[in-house]
Amino acid sequence: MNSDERFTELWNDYLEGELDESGIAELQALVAGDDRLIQMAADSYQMHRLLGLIAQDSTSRQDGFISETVARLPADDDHFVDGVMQQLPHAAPCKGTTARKLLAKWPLTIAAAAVVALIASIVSLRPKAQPEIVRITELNGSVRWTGGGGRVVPALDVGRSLPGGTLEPLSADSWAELTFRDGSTVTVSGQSVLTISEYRQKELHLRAGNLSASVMPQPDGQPMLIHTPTARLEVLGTQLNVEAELSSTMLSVNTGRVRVTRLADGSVAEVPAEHQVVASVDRHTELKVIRRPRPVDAWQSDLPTDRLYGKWLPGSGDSSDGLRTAPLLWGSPEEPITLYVVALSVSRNRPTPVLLTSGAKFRIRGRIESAGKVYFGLTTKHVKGGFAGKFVVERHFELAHETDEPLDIELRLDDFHPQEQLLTKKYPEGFPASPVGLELFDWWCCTVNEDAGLEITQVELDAGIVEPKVPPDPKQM
Amino acid sequence: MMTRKVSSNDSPLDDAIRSVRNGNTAAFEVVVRQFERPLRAWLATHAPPGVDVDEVAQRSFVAAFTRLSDYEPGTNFAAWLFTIARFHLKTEVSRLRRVADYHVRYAPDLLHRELERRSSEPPEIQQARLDHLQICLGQLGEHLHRFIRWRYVEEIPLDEMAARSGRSVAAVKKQLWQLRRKLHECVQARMAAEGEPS
Repeated sequence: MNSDERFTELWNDYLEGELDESGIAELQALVAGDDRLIQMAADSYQMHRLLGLIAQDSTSRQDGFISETVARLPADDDHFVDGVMQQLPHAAPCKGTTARKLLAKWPLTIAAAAVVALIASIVSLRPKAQPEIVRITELNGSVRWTGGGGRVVPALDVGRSLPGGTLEPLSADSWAELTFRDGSTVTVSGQSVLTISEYRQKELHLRAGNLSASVMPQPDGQPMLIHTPTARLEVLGTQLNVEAELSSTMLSVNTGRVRVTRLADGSVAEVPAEHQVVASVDRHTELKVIRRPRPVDAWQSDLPTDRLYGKWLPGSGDSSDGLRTAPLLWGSPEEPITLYVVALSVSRNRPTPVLLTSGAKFRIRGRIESAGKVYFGLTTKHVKGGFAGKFVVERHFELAHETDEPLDIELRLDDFHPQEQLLTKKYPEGFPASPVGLELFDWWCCTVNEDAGLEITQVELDAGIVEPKVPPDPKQM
Repeated sequence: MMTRKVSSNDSPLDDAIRSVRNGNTAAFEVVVRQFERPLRAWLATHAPPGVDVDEVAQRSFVAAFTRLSDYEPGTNFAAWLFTIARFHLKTEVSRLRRVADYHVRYAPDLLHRELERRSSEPPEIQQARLDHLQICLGQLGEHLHRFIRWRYVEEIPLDEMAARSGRSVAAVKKQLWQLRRKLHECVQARMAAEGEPS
C-alpha cells in the first residue's frame, strides 16, 4: 500500500471517529512535511463538515437556533437607558418643551395621568430582565460562570443567583451545588461544563463531567431535560447521577424513573430506581438497563482507561507506564495557584460501584523527584444519593525519595478528612466527616505551586493490602 | 452569479441594527436570521474537531449584540461579525488545547494549523461553497447520492452501509472518500466558473 492509499485509509477512519491514538500519530507523521496531503485532508474535512451542515439543515433547526440565541441576549442597563432616552422626545407632545414645563401648564389630574402613562411606557420599554434560574448553595474550588452576554465571572459566591448560562468547575477538587426555585438541586463536580436554562422547563446541557441531581416532581409534560453529547434524559422527579463524555453517558438512577434517549439511533429506555444504563455513540451495543450491581470494596487503577488528568508516560524496559502530574491553573486571577495534578476516574467504564469500607487502605506506587507536600484526594458519592464531598490527606515526602527509589506508600481511609470541614459541620448528613460508607467516584493527587516530579504508576484500594516494605533505616544497621 | 446572503448592504439589516441600537432587543432576531447559516458554515469548516460550533456561533451573536455600539453604521457588518466569531473560535480552540488529551484524541495538529490558516479567507466563501455544494449534490446519481444520505442524513454505521450496498466496509470508506473529492472538485469548478475565489 502506498502512502496516498494509507493516508486515505487513515483519514477516512479519522473522520469516522475510528482512529485510535496510534493511528492519529501515524497520520500525523504521514502528513508532516507533505503539504499536498495536508491540503487534501483539510479539503476533505471542510467538505465533510459542509455535508453535515446540509444534512442538519431544516427550518425547525434554524428557528430553534435563532430562538435560543435571542433568549441568550442580555437585558443590559445601557440598552434600557438608551431605549428610554430615545423614546422620551416622541412621548412629549410638543417639540422643544421639557416635561417639567409641560407639567407646570397642565392641571394636576392631567399631569398625574401623564406621569402614570410615562412611567408605564418606560416600564414597557425596559427589556425583560433575565430570570434567575438557580442559586449557588454550596461551592468549592475554582468554578467559572459564563452568563448572559458572554460575561465571564471567574469567581462565584455562595448565595449568588444566576440566570441561564454555563458553569464550569475547573479542577478535580472543584464543585458547586445549585438550587432551583422549586428546591431541586444539581451538583456538578470535577472538570465539567454545564449549561443551565429554564424557558419552558428546566434544561441542563452537560457537555462533559459529572452531575448529581435531586429533582422535585416536575409539572406534567415539562420534565427536566438533561442533554449530554450522547443522550437525552427526561426527569420527572428523582435522584440520579450522570457522567458525560464525548463518546458515552452513564446514568445511574437512585430513586424515581428516568427516560433515556440514545442520540446515536434514537433508541429509548426507561431507567427505574436502583438501575443504570450506558448510552454510547456505538449503536451496535444494546441500550441495556441493568440493576445497579452490588458494590465492591476493592479497586485497582487502569491508568490508560481511568486517566482524567495528567501526562501519560509510556513505560520502557523495567519501568511501568505512569501518569505524571500536569499543571493546572487554579484560584482567582488575582491569586493564581498552579496545581500539579494527576486525576483518575474510578466510576468511568466500571459498572460496579466501589464502596469505601472501614479499614480500607490505598496503596500508591510511583516516583517523586523532589521533597515536598503532596495532597491525595477522593471524590465521593452517597450510595443512594448524590455528591457526598471530597476528602483529602496530605503527606510530606522527605529527601529519601529524591533518588530513583520508587514511591510506595499506603494511606488509610481513616486518615482522609473532609476538604471543607465547615460544610461537614453545617450538613453532616449530606457531607459526612468520614468517607467510610460512601462510593468512590474519582481519585486525585497534587502538589501546590511546586512541581515535585510526581508520577503515579498504580493505585489500589483494598481492605487487605500487604503492608509495603519499609526500607531499612541505615542508622539502625 | 449567485447572491450571497452575507452581504450587509441591505436595508432590512440596517433597519434592524438601528432598531437594536435604539433598545429594541427583539429586532436582533433579524440579524441572527440573516447570518445564522453563513456563520455556522464558516465555523463548521474552520473549527477543529471537538468544537461546539453552535455554541461558538451563539456566543458570537451575543457578543455582537452587547458590543453593537462599537459597530460603525455603513461599514461592513458581516466583516465585523466574522471578526468577533474568529476571536471566539480562537478562544474556544485555546481552551480546548489546554484540555488534557485533546490533541491525542481529536486533532491532528497539522490539520488544526491548516484550518487556522484558512480562517483568514473571506467568510462569504463558505456560504458560496455551501450553495454550490447543494447544486453539486443534486447532480449526483442516486447510486452515489445514497451514500451521502446514509452517512450524513441517516447517520447509519459503515457496516450497515456496506450491507445495504453489497460492498465491503473498506469499499464504502473509499467510496465516501471519492465522493467528498468529487464534490470538492465540482464546487471548486463552479466557483472558478463564476469568478469567485476558491
